[in-house]
Amino acid sequence: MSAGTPPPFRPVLTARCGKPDSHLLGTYLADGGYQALSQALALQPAAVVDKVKASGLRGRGGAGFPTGLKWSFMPKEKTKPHYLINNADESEPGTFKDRLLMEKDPHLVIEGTLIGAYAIRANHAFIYIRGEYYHAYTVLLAALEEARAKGYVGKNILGSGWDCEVILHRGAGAYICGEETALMTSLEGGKGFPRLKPPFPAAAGLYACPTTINNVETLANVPFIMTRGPEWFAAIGREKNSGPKLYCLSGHVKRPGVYETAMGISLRDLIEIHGGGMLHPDRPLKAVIPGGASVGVLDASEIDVPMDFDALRAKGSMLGSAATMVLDSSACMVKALLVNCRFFAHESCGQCTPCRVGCDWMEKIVHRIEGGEGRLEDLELLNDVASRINGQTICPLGDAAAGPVPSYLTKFRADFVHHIDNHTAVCLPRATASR
Amino acid sequence: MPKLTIDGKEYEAQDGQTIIEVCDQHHLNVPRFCYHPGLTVAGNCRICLVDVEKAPKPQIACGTPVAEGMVVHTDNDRARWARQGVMEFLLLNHPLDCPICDKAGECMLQWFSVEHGPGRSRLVGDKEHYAKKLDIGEHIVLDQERCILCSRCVRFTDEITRTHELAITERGVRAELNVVEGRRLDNTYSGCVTDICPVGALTLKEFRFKSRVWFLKDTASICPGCSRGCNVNVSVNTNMNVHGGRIERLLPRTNTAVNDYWMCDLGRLIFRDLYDKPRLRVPQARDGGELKPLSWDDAARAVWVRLREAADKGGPGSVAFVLSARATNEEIFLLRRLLGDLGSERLAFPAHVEGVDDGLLLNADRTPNRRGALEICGAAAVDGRGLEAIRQGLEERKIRALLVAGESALADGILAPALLQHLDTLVVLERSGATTMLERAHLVLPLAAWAEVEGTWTNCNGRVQRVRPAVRAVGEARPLWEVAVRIGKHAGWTERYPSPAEVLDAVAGAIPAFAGIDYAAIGLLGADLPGAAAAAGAR
Amino acid sequence: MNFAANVLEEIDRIVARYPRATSAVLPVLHVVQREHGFVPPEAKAWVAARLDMPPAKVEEVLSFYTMFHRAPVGRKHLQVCRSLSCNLRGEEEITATICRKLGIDPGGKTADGKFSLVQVECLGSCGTAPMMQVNDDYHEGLTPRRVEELLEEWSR
Repeated sequence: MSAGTPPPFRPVLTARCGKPDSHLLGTYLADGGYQALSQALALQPAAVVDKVKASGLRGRGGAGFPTGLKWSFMPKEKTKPHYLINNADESEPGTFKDRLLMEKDPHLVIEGTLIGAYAIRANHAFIYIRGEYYHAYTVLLAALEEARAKGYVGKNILGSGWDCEVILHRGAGAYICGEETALMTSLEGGKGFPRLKPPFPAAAGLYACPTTINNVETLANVPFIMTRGPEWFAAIGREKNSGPKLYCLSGHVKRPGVYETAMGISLRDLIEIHGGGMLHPDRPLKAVIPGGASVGVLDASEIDVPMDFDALRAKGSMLGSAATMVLDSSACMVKALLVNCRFFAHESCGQCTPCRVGCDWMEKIVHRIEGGEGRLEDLELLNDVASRINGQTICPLGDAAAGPVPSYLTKFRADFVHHIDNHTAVCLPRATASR
Repeated sequence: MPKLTIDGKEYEAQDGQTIIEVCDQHHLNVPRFCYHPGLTVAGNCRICLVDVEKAPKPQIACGTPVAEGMVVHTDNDRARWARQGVMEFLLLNHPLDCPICDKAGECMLQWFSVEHGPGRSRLVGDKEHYAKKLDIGEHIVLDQERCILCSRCVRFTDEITRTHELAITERGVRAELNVVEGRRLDNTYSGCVTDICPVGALTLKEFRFKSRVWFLKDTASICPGCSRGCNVNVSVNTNMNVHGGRIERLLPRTNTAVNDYWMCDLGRLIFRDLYDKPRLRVPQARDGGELKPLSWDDAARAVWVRLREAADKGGPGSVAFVLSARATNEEIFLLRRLLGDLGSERLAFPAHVEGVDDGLLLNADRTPNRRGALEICGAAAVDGRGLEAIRQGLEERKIRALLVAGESALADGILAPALLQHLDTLVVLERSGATTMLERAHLVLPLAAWAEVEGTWTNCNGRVQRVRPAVRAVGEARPLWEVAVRIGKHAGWTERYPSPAEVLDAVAGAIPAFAGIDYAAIGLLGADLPGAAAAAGAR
Repeated sequence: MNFAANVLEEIDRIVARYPRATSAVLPVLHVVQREHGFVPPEAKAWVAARLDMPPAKVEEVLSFYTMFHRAPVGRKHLQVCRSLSCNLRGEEEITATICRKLGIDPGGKTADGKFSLVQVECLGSCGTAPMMQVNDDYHEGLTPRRVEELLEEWSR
């Protein structure tokens, strides 16, 4: 139950996105752009790290790791080049927030990258953008040209004595390259194979040098933390779950799209107030996946939950990439799980045994059930196979594929049992509707 | 030096060691496929998952550095459950090829599925299929279906041979091992991939379907192919009704001081030489223009009598021995002594050099004991001067008697028939009968081959290693050291040499370079000559 | 492998950007594909030599990343997103419409080489589902009607 309409949140990250020519340097400068960079360069890098630590900013890519803490893992003494990587490989199903920032406010992305690079004492920053985001790539490329021409990128930036090259690097179609170690392997010229940890990227990452990898949205917060202060940031949302947050709403809602609010908006409010409620008036809410294909599904009784890291984890799901997919009563949860299992099987890099074999096996089991060829013991089989993948792989893709499975089986067992008992490929909602 | 507990017992480890290294050091069983001590850690098979207390999930033993106070369980419920899951995944699409797969009996997948597998398949529907029986190299066949993608072979061609022929292409469950378009797995060490492949995905053409491995009896020995002296296991088939059994393959034997875990293809297949030419089987003496068989007693006496005669008639230096640097230290020592008893020092070992040292294991010097010959007989005997002097001596007719052991092929080279015509006595000791020198020989004695002989060789780095008999000598062929002892009895030797060990003791006593070397010191991994440069293995 | 001088210069500039030449393999393969429409077999050896990496590693990269075509694709390469949000909003009907109109299955190409169709995973356009990427461009908020219009337009 919503506690009434929340006060409208004044957009921070997306403030410029609706403006004409929002991607141009002129627009950005008129709005006070690159002043944050100027402020950062006047401080010692360690002081910039402290500001971000004090803000409580947590990674927006999916893991929610405290950003300032991650930056502080870089070696105190610099004996090798340091690298900052802006992870723009946004590929988690349901996620499209980084794309918005890159296409509409590329200079925000660039400025955040530069400040991050400065804070970790890097002279090279890479923006690894997924290959399919061709339009965003051209926009960012043009913005980098503008920034370079004005001296924000390159040698002796703003007369500070600090050099920083920003290299925009296109991927070529692999979700796994969003995993930080696989990204580095890809950037070095190989397949997107994740690496064992230890060593950790801050010790030995890109080219075996100390490296920090941050998400686009994470870094986009940094200029604001500089100009408005960490206290301002920390005051938004609640403790340990603070700051403005972009939510990606999609599926069976009237108004799918990216919505920026204070972190912790209730899922119900996100759907009903921002999303305009359900797409069809006669199809009530059935399920919500709050944070991308990698997180557990919630049923209609569970949507009074704050959309932040800790509250969703307590509910047995995760904020992840804040990719909220809404499913109404017409959706078959077996089909939904199949689509997700198919995704992970397709994206598995194939390096380690449990994910390579297990993800494909899970897809096959769900496919059989969905096609009417399932058996009752397949439910326990699916659960067991998932449990043998979870926690046993090199990287979190295996956990992402397997982790949510029990939530589908327990909360939507009826959908599965319908296919099995009736030996039918016709899903429960359709069967019910046709009665 | 962190202390950790594994399965209830405390162990002291070295800084930087991983759990699996500590376990291996103390012979604690942890299953593994992708881990290999000679290659970088991949951590992809996940079979070595162990339970580490306080860790949120099982950890791979191969990729987890030990820490002070760590408590590890390699075989508790949690570890066994994790492993069983991995085992099931590995077997899910694996073809049931065991009845036709060469690896059966030494297959790591078999071993660990018995120990840790679920025992039955839960797959409904078809397995994933891939290409089988791909000819990917001169010696290698690939079965993609059997492959568990451990990447050991890829790491081998990347890190050891640095030839990069192999790749794992595609993604997910459709990932497969391949040679790249237009290339073959054709480096000098290609056979090694069949050693390190944990399953029967990569098999050696020369061994395919030859024998079940449980019929093979292994003898630890040394490869005769070059001066590296790679340690090997000679596998003899005990199932066939062939005299002494037949050698079916050579595998490298681990020795981090010589060859690490590897050997080259030339050495791996060198045993085929033993079967491709007819062997000499009985001692023979020329009687009325023809070679006729005689007993070893008679033959040994005849050799001594004729050599003694030639030495008496011709004076010092009228007898010459041309020996092979494939002879053992013991054999070289005894024959040099014999020559000395005949008043001569004319002793030479022809060189067998092909190409250059390849920087890994294969050396240009294709004899296993040139170093031993050098230490026992001096530089001139091995560097060509001795051989040139003998050739000159033959030309000038100063040499009246010549004994050639294992080098009768020189008749096509430096010891042309014209040079041998005038000899009063030509004694040829040889393994195989197909050389023209035998047509000129007065005495022809059959020698046992390297795989039939007990003795030692000294490798290029001064490491003395034992070559051991894997099969019986054919017919009445005898090892050269035994022949030398028989002849020596007629020369009046009083020492007893019941075995090469006693001969080596004599070598150690007489040659300072060999001081302290005996069979006990040599063991299975060899012993360096005192003062020999420290050998750092294959790398 | 023949490249125009300006393309070779472009490749030189790309390689020079990176601390290590091998890092340029993805951008260089993108250039190769842009110039040829796909990555021809001869390109592998050329790229390997240019970047001083083993041909085996180029082969691996080419087979791993879905955006590289190892054979020519249609002049309009239709990549329909099939991930969850698009699936919920009618992707299957979009795919079926295309298959029906063009007479091909996913993975296929029309005989005249004008169109090829593949199903791909999430393209980051979930707010405007269902959608597809055609060559480099996104076509969002599709309906079967709209798809038919586009195909007709491109057929001319």
